[in-house]
Amino acid sequence: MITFDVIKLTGNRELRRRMPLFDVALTLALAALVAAIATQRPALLALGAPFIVALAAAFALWKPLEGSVVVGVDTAHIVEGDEVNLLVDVVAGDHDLDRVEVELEVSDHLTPLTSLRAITSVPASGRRRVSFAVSADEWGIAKVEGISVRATDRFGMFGGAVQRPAGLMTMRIGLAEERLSANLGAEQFRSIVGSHLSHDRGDGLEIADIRPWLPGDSVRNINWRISNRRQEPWVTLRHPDRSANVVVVVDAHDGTGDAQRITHRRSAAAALALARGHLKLHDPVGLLVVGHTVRWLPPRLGRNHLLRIADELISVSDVPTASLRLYRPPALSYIGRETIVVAVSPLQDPLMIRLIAQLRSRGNPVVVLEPEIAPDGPPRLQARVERPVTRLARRFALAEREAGVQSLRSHGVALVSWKADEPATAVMAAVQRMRQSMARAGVR
Amino acid sequence: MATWHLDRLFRSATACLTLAAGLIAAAAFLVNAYRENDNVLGIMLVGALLVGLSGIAGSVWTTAFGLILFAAGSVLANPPDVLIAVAGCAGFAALLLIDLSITFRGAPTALRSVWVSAAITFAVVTANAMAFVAVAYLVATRATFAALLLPVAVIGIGYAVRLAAEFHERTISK
Repeated sequence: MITFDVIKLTGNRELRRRMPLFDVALTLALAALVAAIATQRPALLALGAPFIVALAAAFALWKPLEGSVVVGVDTAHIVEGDEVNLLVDVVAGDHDLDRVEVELEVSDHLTPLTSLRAITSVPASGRRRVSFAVSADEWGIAKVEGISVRATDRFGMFGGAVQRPAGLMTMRIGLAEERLSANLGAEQFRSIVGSHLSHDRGDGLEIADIRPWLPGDSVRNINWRISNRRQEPWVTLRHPDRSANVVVVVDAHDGTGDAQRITHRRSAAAALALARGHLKLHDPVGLLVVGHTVRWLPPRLGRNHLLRIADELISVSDVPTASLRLYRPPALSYIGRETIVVAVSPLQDPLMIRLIAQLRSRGNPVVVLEPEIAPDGPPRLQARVERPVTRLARRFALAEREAGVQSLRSHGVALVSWKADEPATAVMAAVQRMRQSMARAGVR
Repeated sequence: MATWHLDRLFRSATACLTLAAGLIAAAAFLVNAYRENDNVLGIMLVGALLVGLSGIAGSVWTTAFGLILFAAGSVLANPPDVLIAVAGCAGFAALLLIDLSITFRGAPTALRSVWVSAAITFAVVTANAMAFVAVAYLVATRATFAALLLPVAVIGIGYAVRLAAEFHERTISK
């Protein structure tokens, strides 16, 4: 069990309160006594006798509640679609805990499979575990939003509740890799971003160029067939056997509601699949998440690096609101000049458009996958509730975005729109076609 | 399987409140069958209805109102003393059941020990209460009934002091 939090019951003054049942029992007992005395009928005492006895017993047997409640989860690595057990251990002190109610509240990423409330009792110095099954439905950072523990004595007359706003209890739900690999093949990605061979010339297998022999050239590189035909020594130049660095830029743009969540999920899914594909082909892959802050993983190889990328991508799901983003650190310096850049961005953010333009102007081959943002609600309803100022602002933002997109196109950035209902494979084919046409036009 | 169904039944809020209201209604019919005075079945059934509603509302104070109505009916009906004792036990059981029904809202996962503990509590308290009533009845019929005034006064004063102290403490802490 991986522990999130421990709630101490021992010494908690909140658990020493009178419960409503005590007041009710006292009222009924007093009413019966008064009635018996007023009517001078001792038999009426029998109506209130159980309440009197219960009150007396509750007073006599009361002991302060001692113990603790430990909250945790059964696994460290959670992938979307997994069933996770949130575990709550109720530990009793020197006395019995006669009735303990535990209730959890979880964020949207988790769907309860059973009731998130449990009632238990624990013998003295004992421990009892309660398990709450939840389904990790959606990738991202899931939270146990709150936990409340209500404990009473055997009679339900003394006790209280402890509530812990549990923003600290967070779990990272990773993207399901096998689901992604079904949609996006590695080979396909390799062809998307154009040639993976370095533009440097070196000792590889792929022919880069031929030219007349120059002093310093190795005789091993002489192309005998052409040399014979031209009657002078010519050499074959080859690309080095080195894969290109690829940097995936993910736009953790600000937004609101479900549209943002869906876009982030698609962006992260595409980015992870891209990284996975290239790493499989031994291309060093870097990740740059640009949002409220800049998160950078330099290009590296290996499965561990893929896990690091997956872990880093989870942070995309937890971006703060737009009002918090006042400053964005510069991101351009992280990416090398020869690196192939694939940006996944809805291009809603002018800063992101500027970053892509700068990368392109430096000479980096850049492809932008542009996931379409789903509307928040029915257009008619939106139009009705939207104020004229908001509508105008929206139009300005759209115009600014269009200008930015046109600017990117004119600089030779391959832009591919990715509609919500479009399979990733179709989008990748479109990117491939675009790269080929750019190559024919002499645009790197 | 039978245990599972039993557990489901006992940790069902609806079952608890139905049982509570049904218990009061049954006691009402019983008291009414042995009444000596007016027909008070209507009042007692309204009490049972209030008890049932209190389970839905999640308020034990509503249960208290229902039980007061039920007790008033029992007093007016003037049944034999044993039946009054039975009515008192039914009222206490109803209160415990309503408390359980409030606890069991939302069909939580519950250990069997929770309702077993409630049942044992009810049985022990009822047995002790009957013993207490027997003693009190004996004292009241053998000695002067006014002798009961002293413990009542002591309890009343003690509780008033406690309430005052708590109120004072809350006022200071604010």
